[in-house]
Amino acid sequence: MKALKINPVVLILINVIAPTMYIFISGKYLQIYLLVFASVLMLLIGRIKRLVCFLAVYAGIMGLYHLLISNETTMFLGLFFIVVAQSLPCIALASILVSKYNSAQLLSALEKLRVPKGLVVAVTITLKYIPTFRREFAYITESMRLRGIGFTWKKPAQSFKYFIVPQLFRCAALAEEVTAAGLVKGIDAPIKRSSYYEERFSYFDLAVIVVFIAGLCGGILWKMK
Amino acid sequence: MKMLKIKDVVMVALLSALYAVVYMLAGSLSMIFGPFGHAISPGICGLVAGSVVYFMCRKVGKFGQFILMQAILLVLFSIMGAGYLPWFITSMIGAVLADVVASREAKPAVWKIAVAAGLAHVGQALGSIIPATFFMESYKEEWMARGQSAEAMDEMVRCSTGILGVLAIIVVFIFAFAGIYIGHAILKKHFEKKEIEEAA
Repeated sequence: MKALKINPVVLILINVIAPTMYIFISGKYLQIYLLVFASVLMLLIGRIKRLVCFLAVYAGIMGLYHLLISNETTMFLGLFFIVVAQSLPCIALASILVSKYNSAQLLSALEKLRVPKGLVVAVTITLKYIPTFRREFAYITESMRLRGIGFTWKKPAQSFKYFIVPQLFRCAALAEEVTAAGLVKGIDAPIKRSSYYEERFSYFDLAVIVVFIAGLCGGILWKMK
Repeated sequence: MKMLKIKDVVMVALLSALYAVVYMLAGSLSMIFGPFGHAISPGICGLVAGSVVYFMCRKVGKFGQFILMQAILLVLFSIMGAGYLPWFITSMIGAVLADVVASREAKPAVWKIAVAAGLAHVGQALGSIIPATFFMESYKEEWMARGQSAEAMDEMVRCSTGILGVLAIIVVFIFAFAGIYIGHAILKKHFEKKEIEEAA
């Protein structure tokens, strides 16, 4: 089956609306509904590997929740895991946003939301930078290893210093590079930007929104009964 | 008073990514300490991420830096499905106050940055303290709908209201304040070295 393409704005809207619905809809209904909805959506857009990982993590967290909730001393920790489990469908959809779309596609999509341009640029950069942390951390640990310095829990303050200082100065260097690249592409131009990746709403996007809203309406009716 | 340029926006965005990672880790870590840990989680974040905030104030140092960082965090958390309206409002108010305190001059004193960080993180903490104090029933209802038990919510409300609520605000402010001084201690020599290089 050919994977369908979804507009990133649809994913953003779903993630912004979904958590605000807990006040109107039964928590259990919304939790299950979002789990099914996110799973089907990931299947349709061809993110099978991510779906399997998502379901495995979800199952693991729910297992931990049931394990911890039964004990009075660990109950609060268990309740933290249920909040994580509830956010997991949204996190999974957000991870698609980061992995599937490049910066230009995200910029183009976010600009349609009529958010201030500076914030759109900033959010796009932040979204794309977070997943690189593991790689950055690997660079830092490798450099430290070559200098004969290791991370140790025995000296947390010093280890923290060794981690944070290169990370901060790396941010500063990267800021110069990203700014230069952005300026070349006219990011600060006071005109409406056009994009090669002009994301238009398709019938599939419309269908996703309709199904999502129908599910939420069903939840509201369920609660009213 | 200088305003943010595109270079500053990019710098704040990258530092916000680092801050967001610390925020998530601190938030998860604070859960070990139970309901009071939840109330002071912004303070734990402020303590650990003080270096990031200090670095931002020294490298950017323009009005709007705290507001932009907070706005990025709010959008980011909304996209990840962790949006919560009272937290948005109090966090933004805290960020505006932080900018008023520490972003009107290019090189503010360390104590000013520390006070600003304190205000910004207290703003975040008030996102749960204010609803728990003034809108207790709807606050409980919303979180119980999100899967919390009634006993856990009673405990959470107890730790976020009254004397414990005030204590949580003080602890958050002190932690965030201390975080900046830790950042200053870590980064002082790097900035001094840079200033000498620039002067030469």
